[in-house]
Amino acid sequence: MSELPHTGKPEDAVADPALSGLYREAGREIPPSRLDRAILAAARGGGSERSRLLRRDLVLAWRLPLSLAAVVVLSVTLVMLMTERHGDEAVEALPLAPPPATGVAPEAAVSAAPARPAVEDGDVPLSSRDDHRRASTVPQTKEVAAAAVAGKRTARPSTRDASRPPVAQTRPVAGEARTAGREAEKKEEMAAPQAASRLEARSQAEDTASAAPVPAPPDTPTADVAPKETIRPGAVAPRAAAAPVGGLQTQAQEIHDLPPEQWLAKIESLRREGKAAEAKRSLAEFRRRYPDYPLPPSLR
Amino acid sequence: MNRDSVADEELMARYRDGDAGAFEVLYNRHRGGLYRYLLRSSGSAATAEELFQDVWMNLVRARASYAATAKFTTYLYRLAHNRLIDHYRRRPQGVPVSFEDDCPELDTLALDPSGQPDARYDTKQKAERLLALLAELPEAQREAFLLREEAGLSVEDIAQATGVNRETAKSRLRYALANLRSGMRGYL
Repeated sequence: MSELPHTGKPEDAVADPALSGLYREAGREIPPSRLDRAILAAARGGGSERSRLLRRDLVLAWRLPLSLAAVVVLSVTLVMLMTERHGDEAVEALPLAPPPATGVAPEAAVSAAPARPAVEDGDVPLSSRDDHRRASTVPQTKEVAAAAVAGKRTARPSTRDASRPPVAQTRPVAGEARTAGREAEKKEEMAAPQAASRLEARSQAEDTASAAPVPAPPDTPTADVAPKETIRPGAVAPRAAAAPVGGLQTQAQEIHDLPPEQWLAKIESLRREGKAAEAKRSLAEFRRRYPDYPLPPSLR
Repeated sequence: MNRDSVADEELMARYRDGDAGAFEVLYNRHRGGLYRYLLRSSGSAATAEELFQDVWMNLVRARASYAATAKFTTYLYRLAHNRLIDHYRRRPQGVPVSFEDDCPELDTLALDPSGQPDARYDTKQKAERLLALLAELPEAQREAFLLREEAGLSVEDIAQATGVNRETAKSRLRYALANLRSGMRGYL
């Protein structure tokens, strides 16, 4: 190891060669070797650190282009997914559109579109459509009232499925409730509010077939019955107002509430009875409500 | 080209550019002087080792910003001086008053050689006497002497390394020599 030679600076006039010589004779301590090793290793590490810095610079130089490329790829993928989803929703929205209610009585109009809200489905987003159905139509239609009872037992797997439940899955449940409630309704005639009695009848019929609702007396005023029910007054009022329309509409309504196979049988019986016009209207309604349901050859 | 004949500044520039071997040459040149400067300034081997390692680590970390605007030795001992002042600040006593700009020129060693010098004193005993006197010097004077003897710095370089003006550095060095001479009277 080479040490620095002592270099006196005579020009400074602050030198003492005798003291300097004696000082050089004093101890020549050196740092311990472990310090030498540590420092030299750190210095060499600094060299490798420099190469790491160079690599990091390279990475930093490519970071921006790579980030931009990743953003572009993600954006394109997202746009494609959203476009595809919008296309699916547009296809789904078509059968959800409510049919024109021209020439149909209020009672029939309500029953003709049992699972659909009064507002246009196409005017609101899909999710809000579902919310709207749940919030506004449950107490207003007996179809949805039955569906609400059935909905407690069947979880809705997704918004898409919930917005258009398959007929084969939901109809039997509602049909059972309807069949059980039908007998009670026939006893009631038209005295009690239909929605309230049917709702109660269906909910009880699902639990026990023998538990029919207590029929109200024929002369019982609607206003007396309505507060006893848990249904909101706004939901009872349209039904109560439509009750005096007549037996024809009520009969048509009852037909429309039947399960598909019974409905078709009823249409055939109407034909046999010579009520061709009524059978035709009912068949048209059936086709509108169950467009995919296979018709028997006699009705095609 | 033999690295031993390359100037310190060139070696440091090479190390800055990634030549670890250049650092090793630099280190071997200055390790002893820097260590003794710290050892005799702090008076403790443990403290000297800690400060010594810190100084070199600071040099390694600061290599990228090194510019040969001054002598490398001045640069290195400037790092050492700053580290030493930090060490002083952490002590309960704080930074020695002798480091103030107005150099205490009236400070003189209390050492008074007792009795007559003995001709039997050999060089080793004289050297030990000198080191004892050096330890008794005010810190600033001691530092100036050490920078002169260990780093070979001129008065100008000492001023630059210690951050004082040239006259202060010269005064410190002059008084250090005077005190040592006084203490070594009869030994030399």
